[in-house]
Formats: sequence, C-alpha cells, structure tokens
Amino acid sequence: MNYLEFLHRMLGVASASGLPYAQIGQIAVELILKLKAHTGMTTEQLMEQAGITIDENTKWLTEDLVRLEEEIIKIDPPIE
Amino acid sequence: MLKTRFTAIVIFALILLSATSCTDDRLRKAAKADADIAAGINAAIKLKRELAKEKKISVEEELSITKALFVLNAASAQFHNEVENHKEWNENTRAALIRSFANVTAALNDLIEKGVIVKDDESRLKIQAALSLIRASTVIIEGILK
Repeated sequence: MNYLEFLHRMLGVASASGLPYAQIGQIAVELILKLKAHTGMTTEQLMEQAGITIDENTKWLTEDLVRLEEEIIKIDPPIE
Repeated sequence: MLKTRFTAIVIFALILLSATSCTDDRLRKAAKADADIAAGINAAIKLKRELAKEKKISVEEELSITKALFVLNAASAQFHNEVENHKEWNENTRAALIRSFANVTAALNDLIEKGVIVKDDESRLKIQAALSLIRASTVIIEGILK
C-alpha cells in the first residue's frame, strides 16, 4: 500500500468517525495548500480537476480558508 | 347506498390527505427554514469578505469567523440531508432531527461568540445583524421540533 491509498482510506475513517468539521476542514485546507504549492494551480482549478461538486457556500468558505491561511503564512512565516 | 359509500370514501380520502399534508408540512417547513439558514450563511460570507476587503476586520478576525461559518455550513448541510432522508413525521424522525439540529445550534452559538470579538464597532453590528437573521430561522426549526 502506498501513502496515497493510506491517505484515501484514513480520510474515509475520519469521515465515518464523526471527526469535527473544523478539523476535517483544516485537513482539506492543508492538502489544498500543499497541492497549490506543488502544481501552481488555483483552489478553484484544483477542485475542478478533482471533480468536486460542492454547494456555493462550502466552495467559497474553502477558498477563503485557503486564502487566509496563505495570508497568515505571509504575515508570520513558519520558522524553518 | 352507492352514494353513501362514495361520500364515505371521499371523506376518508380527505382525512388521509389532510393528515399526510400536515406531516409533510413539518418536514417542508424545516427544509425551508434550513434553506434560509444557508442563504443567511451566504450573506454572511459576502459581508465578511466585503469587510475584509475594506480592511475593517483583521485577517485573524476573518479567519476566526470563516472557520465558524464553515462548521455552521457543514452542520446545516447535514441537517438538510437528515430532513431529506425522512419521508414521514414520527417520533424517530423528530429525535433524529433534534440530534442533528443540536450541531447547528452549537455552531451558531460559537459563530455569534466569534462575531462579538470583532474590534470595529460598525463591522461588529453588521455581523451581528447578519447572524440574527440566521438565528431567526433556527428559532423556526426549534418550534417545529418541539
């Protein structure tokens, strides 16, 4: 089993376990940030490529969470 | 004789129809109020984006409100699914909806607390006004679930 399959299965467990939305949202945002850095794609393009169809509110909030995390990283970059 | 039987059937059908529409009404009203919550969340997202663009709220304040809105939106969507999954109103339906709706109420209370800590007075009032519209829809649902 590779790590992608591991991740896929773990997210399934997280969803079924009733992990709080705030924490699931945080995982989604971190994944999007890593994929954006790696691919150079926008949040919208990534969601489109993944074939994610979500309601407008979830889409906007996810985009906002990613944008705000990026702004915070710019203001206060993590110590390497 | 035939006429009497026909009248009895019509009366029975009307009673049945009335009972069914009453049951459906509660689920319909709950779905409508939940759609209003989603519309309220949409308005709140637009508002906080506007306030952030005008630099009236800080990045940290917007992030805190966004996280709370995200949780509320997810809870509201789950409640919506719960309403959709039930076709008739009975005690089991009511219990399931009460359980699911508790997440919506908790998330809204958390959001109201986050909105309260916004420093700028004008922005805080605008946010509170947007949240009170959402609160009004939750009161409708609470009434239905009683």
